[in-house]
Amino acid sequence: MRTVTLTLKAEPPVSAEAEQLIPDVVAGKTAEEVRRLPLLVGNRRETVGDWFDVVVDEAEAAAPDLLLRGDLVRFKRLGEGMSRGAMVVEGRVGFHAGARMSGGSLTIAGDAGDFLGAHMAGGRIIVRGDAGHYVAAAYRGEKTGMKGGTIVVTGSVGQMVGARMRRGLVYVQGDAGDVAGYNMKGGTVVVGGAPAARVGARMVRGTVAVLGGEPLELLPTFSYACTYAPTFWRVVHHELARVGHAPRVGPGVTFRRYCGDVNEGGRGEVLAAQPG
Amino acid sequence: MLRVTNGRVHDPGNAVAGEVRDVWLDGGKVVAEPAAEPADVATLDAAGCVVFPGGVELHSHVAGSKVNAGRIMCPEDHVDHYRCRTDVTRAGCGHTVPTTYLTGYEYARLGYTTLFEAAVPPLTARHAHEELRDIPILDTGCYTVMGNNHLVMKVLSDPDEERRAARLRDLVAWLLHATRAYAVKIVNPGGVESWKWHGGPVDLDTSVPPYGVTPRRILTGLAAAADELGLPHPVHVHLNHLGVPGNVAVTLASMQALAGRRAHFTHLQFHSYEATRSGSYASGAPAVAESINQHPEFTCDVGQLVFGPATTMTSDAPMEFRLHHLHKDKWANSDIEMESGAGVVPMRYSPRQLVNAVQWCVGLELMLLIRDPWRVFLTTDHPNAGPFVAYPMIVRLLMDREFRREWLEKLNPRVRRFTTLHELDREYTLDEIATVTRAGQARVLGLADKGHLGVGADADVAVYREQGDRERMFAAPAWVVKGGEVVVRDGEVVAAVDGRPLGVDLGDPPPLAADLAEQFESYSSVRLANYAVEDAYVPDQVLIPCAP
Repeated sequence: MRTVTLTLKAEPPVSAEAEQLIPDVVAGKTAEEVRRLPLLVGNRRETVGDWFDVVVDEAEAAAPDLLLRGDLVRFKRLGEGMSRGAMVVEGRVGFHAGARMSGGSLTIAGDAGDFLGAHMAGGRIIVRGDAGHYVAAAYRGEKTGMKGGTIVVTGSVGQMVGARMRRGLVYVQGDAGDVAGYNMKGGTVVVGGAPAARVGARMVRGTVAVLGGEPLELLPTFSYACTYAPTFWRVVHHELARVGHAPRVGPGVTFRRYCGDVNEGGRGEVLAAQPG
Repeated sequence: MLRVTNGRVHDPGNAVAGEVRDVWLDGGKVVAEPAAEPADVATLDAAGCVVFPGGVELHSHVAGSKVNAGRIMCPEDHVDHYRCRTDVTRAGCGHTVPTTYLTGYEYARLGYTTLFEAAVPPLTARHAHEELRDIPILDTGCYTVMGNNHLVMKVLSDPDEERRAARLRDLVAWLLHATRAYAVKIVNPGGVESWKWHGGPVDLDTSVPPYGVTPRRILTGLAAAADELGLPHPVHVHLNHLGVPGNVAVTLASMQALAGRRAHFTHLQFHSYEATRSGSYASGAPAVAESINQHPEFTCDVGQLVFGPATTMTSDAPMEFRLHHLHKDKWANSDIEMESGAGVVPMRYSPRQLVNAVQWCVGLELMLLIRDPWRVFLTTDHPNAGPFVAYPMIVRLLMDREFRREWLEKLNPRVRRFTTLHELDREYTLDEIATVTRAGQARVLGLADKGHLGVGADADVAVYREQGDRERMFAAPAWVVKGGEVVVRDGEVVAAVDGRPLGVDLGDPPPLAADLAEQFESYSSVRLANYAVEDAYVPDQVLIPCAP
């Protein structure tokens, strides 16, 4: 098992775009080859070696394929488009981390910027910290955001989590900002804490499950349907437990179900977990 | 002085069909071969290449308010399609609706040197000219939309035929001069205005509020006015019922109504559909092609569909409204006061979608069934049926029937029941390609100095390396020369010269009639004194003479 370890030498003065830093690209490369990979810093094309110390060494089987160390908050597009392998970032990351990824796992031990996992199609992202706006969302103008995979954020997220997502699972252990699940077409967003205003606005289908309980600031275009213990929650709970982040409410919890957004056909649902 | 030597020259305008000869360029013009070789001559060795005149695009949507609306509402069109700046080019982005600079570079990279924006309402003409000025390399012009203009319809409502014709001629001249435009464009005559009054689709003889004129009168009246003014380009017609199954009936009726007058029918593919018994789409191309074949006074461009993303944008606002309801997707609409409407809806055409497959076949059928290449031109109605960057692929489809058959296999298999493309074996020659992409277009535009390589022509030349794969061949010219300067080398822009604005020389047209001026002042959002586009927006406009 080979691990490529990149340690940030110094924080760049401007944003950098680091879409080359994914296991798919660095796999099989020597340290020198990794150093020569391009890195767009501001509007200048530089190399990975200009900003990182690169070490390629043999490691135990559990070690990641790519390990980045340092405060990478100015590095955008980390893990973008990755399709395999394990990538770990020990520090904060910038915008678009894990965007368009289709496989593998991305673990971020720190906060993530906006558009985390945007257009994600598969794989898993774990963020041990907070994430910005538009987690799992669609980019501007696009019809569909996340299409598959799992995202877990142990902290809170900003606005529009799951906007226009089509499939997949997003679990936010903390709170979510405004308009969680905006225009969702499918998939599941689980909010461990409380969402802010206008949850589920323009939902077409899909589920926003709120574990923090009521009262919810629901739009008038949502209506109460029933109180029940959905079977699918057992599946979601099992999946989250499998990735090591089992929700604090159990698999048999009861939810109040609200249907909406009736302006879009009313086939979406917001679930509010009931105490006990 | 520049010499393009050893190339096989295809210059249909001068009946040169693949002869190896030199083309000499000097002072921005094609010149005769000098008696003695000059000392300062630069040479492009075009051995193994074909030499074409610079490409001419007579129908594209590249500038103005609706194009800008398309850019604003389609950020997804930009994110994966961007070009960084180089030493000679600016940065740009966009695939179906590129930014102005990128539009110029991309057209030039295909060998095009002249470009017309196909629909500009007078109120937005100033904006359109500003954007056209930003488009580098290409000479540009635009057409003024008049088919739903209140002043035009008011004049047309005059029962006195003689007075009506004279007043309309003066009004058309005034509008063209005010907008510094090149030709008269008619979009869904009467149909846009009818929609604004909650009316349904109009047929040729439907009375359109508020003036009670019919589309037939709008079509024939404006065609006659363009003829009487001797405009270099005839009336440029986007017919009624665009994209509707069965619209072949109104298309043929409109052609019948305009018989005997010059007219250019644009994106005819969208107007050539029969209706099946279930109300779906079938090809009406054979009937429409036959009509064009029988009327030498007519020309057309196809608006060939390209599979993949597109952005529909047109002054035909009701059509865009219908399209929006069909797809439930993004839609921008604009009511342009007393002049026109406009709409924008992004699209994606799929070969597996039967309707799109039929549309794709209809465009190629028209190209193959209309016998005279001087009267049918290659366009994609960019970006409505697809982006212009697909031209090399369409050229290959026209020149290579096996390639066509490969594509037919990828389409929805039911398409063979509703089209005849699979029965057509015609393959275009290089001369015919040169005709449908430059020589014919220049001729119908009345641009005597473009579209050919005779002495006195503009020094606009495109040189392509001969390859069996015509798509690759036409996608990356070896050289493109604009105004005597090499602007593209091996498919990359190496110099970004300025193009020139093109207009028509109408002399000093009469002022707007008093009653029309009063109506304008009463209902428009701008004062008449601020309406006309000033000369500063079209500096050094090249004026093409009229021949009344």
